[in-house]
Amino acid sequence: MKYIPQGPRDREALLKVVGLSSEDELFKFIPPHLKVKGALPYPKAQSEIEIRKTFQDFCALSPQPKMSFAGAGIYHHDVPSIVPFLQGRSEFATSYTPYQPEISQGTLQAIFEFQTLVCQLTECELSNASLYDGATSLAEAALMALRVKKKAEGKILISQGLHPFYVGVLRTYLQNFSDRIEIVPLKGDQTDLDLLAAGIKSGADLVITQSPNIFGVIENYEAVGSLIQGSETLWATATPEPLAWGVLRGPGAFGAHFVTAEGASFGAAPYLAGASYGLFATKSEYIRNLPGRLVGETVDEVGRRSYTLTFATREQFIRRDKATSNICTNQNLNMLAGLIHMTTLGKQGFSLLAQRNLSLAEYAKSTISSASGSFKISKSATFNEFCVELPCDAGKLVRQAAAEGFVCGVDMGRFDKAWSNRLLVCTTELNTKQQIDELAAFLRRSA
Amino acid sequence: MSLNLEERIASNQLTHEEPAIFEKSREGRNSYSLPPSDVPEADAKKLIPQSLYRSSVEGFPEVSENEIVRHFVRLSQKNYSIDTGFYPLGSCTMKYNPKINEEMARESKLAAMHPLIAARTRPCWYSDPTARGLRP
Repeated sequence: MKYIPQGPRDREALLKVVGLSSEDELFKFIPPHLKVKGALPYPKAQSEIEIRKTFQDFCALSPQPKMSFAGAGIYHHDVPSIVPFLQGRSEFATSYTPYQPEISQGTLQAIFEFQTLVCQLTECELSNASLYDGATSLAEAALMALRVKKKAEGKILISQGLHPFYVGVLRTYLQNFSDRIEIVPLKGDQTDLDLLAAGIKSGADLVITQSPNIFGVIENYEAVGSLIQGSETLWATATPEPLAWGVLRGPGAFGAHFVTAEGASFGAAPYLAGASYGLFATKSEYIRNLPGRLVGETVDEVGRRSYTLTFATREQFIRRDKATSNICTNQNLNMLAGLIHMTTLGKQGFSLLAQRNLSLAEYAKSTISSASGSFKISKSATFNEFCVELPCDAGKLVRQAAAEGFVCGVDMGRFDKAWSNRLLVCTTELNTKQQIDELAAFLRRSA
Repeated sequence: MSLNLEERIASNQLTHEEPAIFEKSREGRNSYSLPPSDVPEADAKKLIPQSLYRSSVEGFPEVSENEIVRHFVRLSQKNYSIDTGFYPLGSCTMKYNPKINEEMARESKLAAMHPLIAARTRPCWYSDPTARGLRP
């Protein structure tokens, strides 16, 4: 691959068109003392052979754990072979934003299908075409809640079970809206419903919860839903692991107003959490306040079904102060991979995969508990991730496991010093019984 | 023979009809498999509070892999793209991206890296700028 493929004849032809005789003449308007002499101080362009070698060297320097139990927001799943094949089709990978529906029906229909699947998963009425990731989807939900309530500032209650990184993103997004943000402490490893009820009673504008929460624990959304019902408070949810919806009702079923999730579990690799997308679903009545992009079904001039962007009220289209969001786009190629992955799983596969993740986690819980009486695992219901209370510092174990070439989980002390004896362990279909047995033996030996 | 944009639209290549994927569902059809489980099957119904539990996602597609491939290949054919022709629009995205970049971005060893393990697992190239070899 060469970025400048033109030969001498091409150059001559180009110069002839603009009426010049040489390249020097083209740049003669730049004063000589401003011209760069010699090459710029950058590495030389690499050929494909060299590029491959460079990346092989990066890979050799990068950690390649023989097994991993790290989750905490990004979950490593098997991606079916057809996903990269179809997602990588040039017509998908190199098409422009679908502003011209006549030449973008493929992308538009894919978005429409994605929106439909997201509604089915979340049990909501309306989904957008995806946002950047789980955390920014949640932040957009908070901004949207303020728009719905027609408030420039509001009182927001956040469950302590929300991923601390998500709390950070929320604070960044909301800092110029002067909102009051209060954290509702956990009672054990679940949101304290009494404190939440008191907060709602005292006139909170928005409640934010996560399920499964940062401890991997499934929150009682039936109870949260009944607290919200009949109040003026809106409710937004986050779900970093949407595969949990294979065994859990969608938050929309309990009356959540905004349901958001991280997309990395479907179609994406962990990618250091860099390449992802976010799910965003809500109630139909809020359609005019929806952030991002929405695709609707219509008919073309001869009556055939077709698809188009609709309700475009982003700042690219209307006055900035009237816009519902500054996000005019979506993570289309990642969303497409997610759609293909979810379609391949299908109704049966989605349940099968969720069930397998749950079974592995339950096996890991019982194996680790019986490895030592000093390991405490809560009895709360979990999905594919759970917390082990250790008699020692979890960070120490994580470092020791790294020295032995594997990842034993995530040290929760990195989020909060009070949690430094807790190890967050995640199992997916990519983990095996043997790996879990090895993990339990390691913990018994090292803790 | 390659067609220009107007000819492609006129020839119907960009506008033929394709049903939505969930409209192709046949009850019980399935394209995903897992290896046999080597751990005991957990009883989700018992472990998860009854009011929060669901056994399957209503409406999710039930289609074969072959149907999925045809569906998305057909959808792709309804798009105009940089690789099918010149696209004089879009200052931000409509440049040619070398395919080698795509290949490197998909490098499975790099793609598999979890964000929360890197900083504490040695060795690690991105925490050591001299190891990157990106600057002379």
